[in-house]
Amino acid sequence: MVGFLTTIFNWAQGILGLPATSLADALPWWDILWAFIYFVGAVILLIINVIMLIWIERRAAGFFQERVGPNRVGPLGLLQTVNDTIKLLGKEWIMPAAADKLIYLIAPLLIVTISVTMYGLLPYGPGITPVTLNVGILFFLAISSVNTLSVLMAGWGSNNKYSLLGGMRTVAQIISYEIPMALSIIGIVMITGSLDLGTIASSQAHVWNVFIQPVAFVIFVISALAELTKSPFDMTEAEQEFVAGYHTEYSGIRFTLFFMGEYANLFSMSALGVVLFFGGANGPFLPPWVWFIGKTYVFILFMLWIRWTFLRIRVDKMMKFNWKVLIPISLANLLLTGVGIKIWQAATGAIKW
Amino acid sequence: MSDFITEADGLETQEFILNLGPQHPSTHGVYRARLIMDGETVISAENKVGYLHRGIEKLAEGITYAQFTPYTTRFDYVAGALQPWAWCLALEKLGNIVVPERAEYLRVIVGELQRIASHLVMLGSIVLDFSAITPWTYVFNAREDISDLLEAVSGSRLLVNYFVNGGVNADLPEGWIPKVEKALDSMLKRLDDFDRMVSGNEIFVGRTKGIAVVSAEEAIEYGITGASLRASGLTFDLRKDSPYSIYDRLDFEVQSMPAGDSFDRYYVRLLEIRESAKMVRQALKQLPAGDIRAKVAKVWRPAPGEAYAAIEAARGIMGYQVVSDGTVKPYRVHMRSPSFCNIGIIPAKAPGLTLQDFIAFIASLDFVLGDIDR
Amino acid sequence: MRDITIIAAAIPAAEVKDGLLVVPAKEIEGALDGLKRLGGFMLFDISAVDRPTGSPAPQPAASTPGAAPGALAAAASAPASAVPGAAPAQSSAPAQPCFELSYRFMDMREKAKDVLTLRVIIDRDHPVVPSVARLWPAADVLEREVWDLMGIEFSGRLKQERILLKSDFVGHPLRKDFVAPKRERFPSPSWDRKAAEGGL
Repeated sequence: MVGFLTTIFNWAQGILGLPATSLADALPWWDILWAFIYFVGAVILLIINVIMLIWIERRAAGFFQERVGPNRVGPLGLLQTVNDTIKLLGKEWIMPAAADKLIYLIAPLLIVTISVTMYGLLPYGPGITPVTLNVGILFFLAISSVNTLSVLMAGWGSNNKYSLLGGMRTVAQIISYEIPMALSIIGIVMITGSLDLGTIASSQAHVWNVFIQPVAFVIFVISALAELTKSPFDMTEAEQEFVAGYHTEYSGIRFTLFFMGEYANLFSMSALGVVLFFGGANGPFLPPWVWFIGKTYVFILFMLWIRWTFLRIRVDKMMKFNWKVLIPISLANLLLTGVGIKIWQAATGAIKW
Repeated sequence: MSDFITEADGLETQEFILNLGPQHPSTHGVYRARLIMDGETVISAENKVGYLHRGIEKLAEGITYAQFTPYTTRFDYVAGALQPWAWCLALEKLGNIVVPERAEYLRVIVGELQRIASHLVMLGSIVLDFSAITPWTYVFNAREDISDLLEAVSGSRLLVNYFVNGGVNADLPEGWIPKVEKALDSMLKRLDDFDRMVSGNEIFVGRTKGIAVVSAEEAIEYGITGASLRASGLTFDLRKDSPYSIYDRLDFEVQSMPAGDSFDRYYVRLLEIRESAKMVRQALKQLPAGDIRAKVAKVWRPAPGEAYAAIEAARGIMGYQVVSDGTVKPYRVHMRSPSFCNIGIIPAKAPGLTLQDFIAFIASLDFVLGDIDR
Repeated sequence: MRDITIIAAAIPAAEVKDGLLVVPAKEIEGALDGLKRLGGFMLFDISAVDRPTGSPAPQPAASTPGAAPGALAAAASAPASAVPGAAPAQSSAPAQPCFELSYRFMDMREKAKDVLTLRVIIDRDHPVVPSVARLWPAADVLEREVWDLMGIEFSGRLKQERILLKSDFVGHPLRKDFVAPKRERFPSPSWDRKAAEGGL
C-alpha cells in the first residue's frame, strides 16, 4: 500500500514539475497526509462497523428471541440500518430550553471523536497499525475513560433528572470498573514486557494469553461489559428506570452520534480484548486483518449473547461486586502472575538466585 | 449512593422530587408516582392516578344494560374477557336469570384462557423491567396463541367481548378444542423454558427476594386481593372460597407463596398459569351440550333493586354493584376494581427501596391503569 | 362467612335487613369500630348511591322507609308485622333525600366467603361520615374515590383530595343533580396563556 501511494506521489511530482527528489522524505506534509488517510480510514471503518454491528445485533437478537428481525430493506435486511440512519438524520433537532447549551452540544461530538481516536491505535495486522505508540495500552485506557466525561456532560447538560441520574451512575460505574480492567491488563504487560499493542499481539504467536491468564480474561470481560455499559451492567441508559438515561433529551443526528459512539466502543473494546488475549492478528492461511476482524466479531457476538441472556443487576450490588470481589481477585491474580514470572525466569535460567 | 456520601463528610446532599410517569416505560400505563429521592433511594412515594379516567360509572347511567356490557372489557384491558363476567353475574342476580350449563363451562374456559394470557403479560413485563427482553418474547409468543383462540371465539384479540347477560355470545367454532389443547401444550413448554431461564437467575432472585415484603396482615389491611394477596401466604380465592359458575366442579388447588416479596408475587402467577391450564382441560372434558344463552328480553327491564357480584379476576376481586330503578338503564353502577386497591400498598412499602427495586415492586403488583382509573 | 346475625349482635345499633347489615348514620363510627374489634374482616369496597328522592332500600328503624315503588311493593307483599324484628312501617312519612353508603367486607377467618355489606343511609344535605382509614388503610383510596365522584365527606382524614378527577374539577359527577359542563377546560399552559390574554 505504501508503495502504491509512493507511485501516486511520484506521478503527482511529474505532473507538477517538481524536482525529482522523494517528496515522502523531503516534506512534512507526507506525514500529515498519512495521518489524514488513516483518519478517513478509521472513520470509514467505524461507520461500516457500526452499520454491520447494529444489523448483527438486531438479527442475532431476532434469532435469540423467536422472531425474525429486520429482513425487508435490502438483502437480509442489511440496509435497514442505513435506512434508519437516514431517518434519524432527517429528524428535528430538539434542544431543551433549559439545557446547558455548550455542554449539551459538545457531548455527542466528544464521544465520536474518542471512538475514532481509539480506532487509530489498534494493530489490525503487521504494518497496518495507524499509530504505533510505545505506551499504546496506557493511551487506550486513558482515552477510553474520557467517554465518562462525555456521558456526564450529556447527562448534566440536558437538565433532566433522568439524564443526570443516568450520567452519575455511569461515572461511578466506569471509573470503578477501570481499576479491575487495568489490573487485569497489567498481568499481560508484565508477561510481555511491553505497553505497545502491536508487540503484545505479536508476542502471542505460539500461545494466546487467554490460556496463560484465564482469570485476567474473565475479569477483563466483566469489566469490559461494565465499561461499555452493556447488559447486565447497562445502568447508564436503563430504559426501565431512566427512560433513556443520559441521551433522553437527544434527538436526530445527535442521538445518532451517541448510538454510533456506543457501537464503535463495542468494536474497539472487543478489538482490545482480541489483541490482549486472542493473539491479535495472528492466524494461519488468511490475511492477518481478516483474522483480526473475525476474532473481534466473535468476541462481540459473545458480548451480545450475554446481553440477550442476562437481566440488569442492581446498581449498589454492581459496585459491591466491583470493590469487594473483582478488585481483590485481580490483585491476587497480579501477585500470582509476578511470582509465576519469577519462577519461569528461574526455571529457564534468566535469573540466578 | 447514600452509603458513600453522607452529611458527616461535609458534603451537602439534597433530596429531589422525581415524577415517575405518567409517561414512563415501566409504569405500565399512565401511572405516576411522585417520588422524593435521596440519590437512588426512595424516601417517600405518592400515587397519582386518574390520567385514564373515562367516567365509565357515569356513562353507564345513560345507556342500557346490554350496551354497557362491551364497556366492561375496557377497564382491565389486559384481561378483557374476564371483566364482563362480574357485570353479567350482577345482572343475572338482579334479574334471577339462570345461565345454561354449557354457557357456564364456556365462560370458565374462556375466562381461564384469558387469565393465562393476562398472567403471561405480567411475567413478561416484570422481566422486561429487569431489561430481559428475551424471556419477554417467549411468554408473549405463548400469549399470541391464546389471543388467536380468543379471537376465534369472540372476534377480538384484546377486548374480548364474549360474555353477555344470561350466557355467552357465540358457540365454539369448528375445530377449536384441539387447537386449545395444542396451544396449552406449547404454552406450558414455553413457560417451563421461561421458568428455567428466569426463576433461578441469580440476578433476578437477588433483585426480587426480600424486596417490599407484604405480610398477610398488611395485605388484608390494605385490601390487596388476587395473586398479590396469595403471594403473602393466604389461600384466598373466590373461585374456591365462594364458588361461582361451575368452579366447584373443577379440581384445582389455590396456589400461594409464603414470603410476600416481589419474587413470590411473580412466582405465584407462574404457578397459577399451570393451574388455569389444568382447569381449562377439565372444563373441556366436562363440556356438556345445550344452549349457550338464557332467554333474555331484547329490551331488558329488571325489577327495581340492587345486586352485588364479585369474581376472582386476573388481578383480584372484581365487583359490580348494580342498582336498578325498573327502567332499561341502570340507576347506578359501581365497580370495585382490584388494581385500584392493590396500589394502595405502594406508598407504604416504597420508602427505603432503591429506584430499581421500586420499579420491580410496582411491576410485581401487576396493575393495569385502565382498571385503576376506569 | 360468620353468620350475619351473630355479627349484628356484636355490633352496636346494627340490624340485619335483606342480608345487609344496616346501621344508623350517627352510630356508624361505633359500628365500624365494633366490626374491626371482631377481627378478620377485610374492607375491600366502599360505594355510594345517590337517592335524591329517598331510598327504597331497607333502612334502620330510626329513619323512614322510602316511598319508591320497589319499597312500596315490598311492604305490600310482606306486612311489617309478619317480619320478626322489623321496624314498624311508617310509609306515610315523606322520603328523605339521602346517600346509601355501603362498606363491603370479606371474612378472612372463615374458609367460605361471602360479601358482608354494611349499609348506612346518610343525610344528603350534610354528607359527612367518619373516616375508617385508620382502621383499614385500604379505605384511604376508596374514601377518596367516593368523595371525588359522589361528594361524601370523610371526616378525620389527613387530606381529602381528588383521586380520579383533576384537582380543579368542580362538582361531583355521580350525583344525580350533576350537570356536565358543555365545554371542558383543556388543561394546557398555552390555553391558559391565551385565556389570560383574552383569546378563546
